[in-house]
Amino acid sequence: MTPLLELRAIRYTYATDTCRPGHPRPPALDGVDLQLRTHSRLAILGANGAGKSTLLLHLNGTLRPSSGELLLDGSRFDYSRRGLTTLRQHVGLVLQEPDDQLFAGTVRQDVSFGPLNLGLSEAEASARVEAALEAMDLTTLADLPPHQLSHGQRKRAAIAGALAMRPRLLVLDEPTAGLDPRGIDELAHQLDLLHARGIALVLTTHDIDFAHRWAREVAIVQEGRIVVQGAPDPILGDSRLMHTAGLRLPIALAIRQALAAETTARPVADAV
Amino acid sequence: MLRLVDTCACANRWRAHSEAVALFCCGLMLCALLAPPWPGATLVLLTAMIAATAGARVPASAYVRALLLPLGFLATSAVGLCFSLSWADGLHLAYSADGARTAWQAGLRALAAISVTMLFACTVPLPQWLALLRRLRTPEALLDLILLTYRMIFQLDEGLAAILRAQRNRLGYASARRALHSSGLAGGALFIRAIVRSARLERGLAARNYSGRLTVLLAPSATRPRHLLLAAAVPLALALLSWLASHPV
Repeated sequence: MTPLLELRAIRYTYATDTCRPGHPRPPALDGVDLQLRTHSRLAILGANGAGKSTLLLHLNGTLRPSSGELLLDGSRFDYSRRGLTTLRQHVGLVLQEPDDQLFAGTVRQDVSFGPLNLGLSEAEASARVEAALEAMDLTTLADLPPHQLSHGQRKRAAIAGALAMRPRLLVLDEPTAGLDPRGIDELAHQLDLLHARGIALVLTTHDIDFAHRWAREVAIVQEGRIVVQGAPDPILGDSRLMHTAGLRLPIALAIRQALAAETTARPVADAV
Repeated sequence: MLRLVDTCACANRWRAHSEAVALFCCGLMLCALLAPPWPGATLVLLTAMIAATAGARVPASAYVRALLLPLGFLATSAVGLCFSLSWADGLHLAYSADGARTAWQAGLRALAAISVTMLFACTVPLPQWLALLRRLRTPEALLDLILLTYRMIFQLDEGLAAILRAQRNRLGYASARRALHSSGLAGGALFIRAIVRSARLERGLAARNYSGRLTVLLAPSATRPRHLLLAAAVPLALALLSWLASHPV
């Protein structure tokens, strides 16, 4: 089956990176291959500066790779104006900081920005806005200005803004950052609902426990490369790999491993 | 104070009636500027206060607090009109009865005008205000600019509060010299923050197919013809009352 979105050998170096003369900065992405399918539910993990956010910004054409290619539904993406409009219709991006996205006077107006940019009529845009607000449980807050919302509510408003464009793939940069445990649970629930509606989800996070319980697939990014990608348990349970990537084991797996180690050690101890 | 006014504008009873409020405020403003200060401006002042607190249900304390800052400027100007300093034969402070009369008349008129401005600011949320301006065919570029400025003001206000808190926590304002130094640093940091924030906002907008226009759905208006009629009738009645009072039969 053709992937919804595919990155092939993507390489990217920031032009404005500060570095010492004579010491060129290494690329932020260095030969990344990634396939995202219709039902993907992928968490991208990695230490700070590993290249997670840079990778996400390539998924909707915000950044253009120095080399490599992006394929949408199997077709090579050309970064033309029309192509970008189509790509961004299919791939919604939610930035880490909601204030980087919310600009309008009210939440409802902000959510309407994307649909109107797609050239929809006001009636159709309005219907999409109401659906997105309802999906993110924001109907009662729709007429408030963004600065009167809490951080968690602003995050939901930012997601609603992307959702109203009816993307097939929703990309979220650190969606759990700054949320309390209840906020994280609510977000996870809303992401579950979106996934059940057929939207593929990709997110980056530093919250290993959230990634472990939410994702069906995880990818570890290290120094601009995806070093491993696959089912969560074997990858997140590999303490050596996680240590090398600057990460830690999820608590559930750490406890499981500790119990297993104790069970293995006990007969020896008993024998002694 | 900005947040206070914004909160009032978003929560008052008249928030969806921007056309009627705009007409009402325009009428009151004309009365305040053209009618004699007594009783015209006084009537406008009272009407604006009653309209804000009893009509739109803006909390009286909030409305008065919003008036305090411009009132301070007004008081300073009035003192300047009432008294004059002279150095001709040594330092000499003189009271001027004419100046006091002018101060009283100008002050009353200005106070009435300010109270009307605050009535508008405290009852019409910015999205409604923009919708009204768009219906009046204001250039789109200007509306986009107003919208972004409105949003950025609150974002930068949050940023400035965080910077000042961080500086105070490290004794940045312990002395006048340090305060001056810290204020300069805060200003510089805020400037950089504004540049970075605008670049990020552009990226966020691009993700939703921004093409140079900040098109959003207009806030719906709940104004009906009877609201407009009432909004026009009250200032007209005030003007008539004021004219009758200043031209006794």
